[in-house]
Amino acid sequence: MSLINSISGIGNVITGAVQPQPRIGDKMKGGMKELTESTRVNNAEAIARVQSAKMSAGVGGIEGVRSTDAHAFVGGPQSADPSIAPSFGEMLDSLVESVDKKQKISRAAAADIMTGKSDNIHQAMIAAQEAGVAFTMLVEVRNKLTESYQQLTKMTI
Amino acid sequence: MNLIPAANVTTDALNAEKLRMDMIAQNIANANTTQDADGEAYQRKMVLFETFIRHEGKAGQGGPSLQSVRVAGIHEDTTPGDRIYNPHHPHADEQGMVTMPNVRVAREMVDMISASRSYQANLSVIKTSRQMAKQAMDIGK
Repeated sequence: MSLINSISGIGNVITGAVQPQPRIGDKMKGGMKELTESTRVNNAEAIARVQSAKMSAGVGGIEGVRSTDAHAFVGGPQSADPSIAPSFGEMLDSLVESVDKKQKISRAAAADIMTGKSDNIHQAMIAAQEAGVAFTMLVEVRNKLTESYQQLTKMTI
Repeated sequence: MNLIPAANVTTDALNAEKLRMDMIAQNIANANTTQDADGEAYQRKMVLFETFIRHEGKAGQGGPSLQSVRVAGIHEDTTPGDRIYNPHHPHADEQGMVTMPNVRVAREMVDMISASRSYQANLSVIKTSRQMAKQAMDIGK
């Protein structure tokens, strides 16, 4: 019975942790603190918190500016405000949108060269490089996410 | 927003250098044109560059706004060309003198080398910037 309770507890913490938390480094510290200190029931919750911090650190490339918060956060309840931070899905959406926009620009520049409207080859090349770099970044973010998710699923209870 | 640092500024510089190269090509091609559309001998053209502020997204938030380059205008060189005595030339005037264009090919060749090196320098800036961005992607690997 307690096993089922702890499983549902982990489930709650994980679904709650999918929303990116602003104070990533401090969350990790809080989780670690709980892990090392507590000998009681909250072990699983502490592990889940560390994992969630790791997962949100995976997209820290985008949110990295926020995690340098000097706020002293002692591993208590999650004080992140979900109404301020964009949701995970929105973040991915905006990233995909910007990649798409860059690819459209690159395609338009190449079409200009082909139809003869512009004779600046370097413009088309630079636009193509921008689109490529943006796409590589998207792929790297995806890799980080799947790696964190896989580590999470490997976690034995 | 540019992932490659200062891609906009380098693109502007490449455009400007390309236009300068176009003008040099035009000058060399018309080095012997004794009568152009105005009815006078061809005058050497040169491009003038000026700097302008290109507002990146962060400029409003206190970041540095980059100064980009653009072509301010195309200026005609008004120094008179050589006058050569050639009375049988169709464009000779009453005294039999033909005004040649004021293009000195040697000077244009030197300008051409300078323009080509500037273009290559900007290209290497873009290549290095792209490499920097790619290495940043490799942080996670």
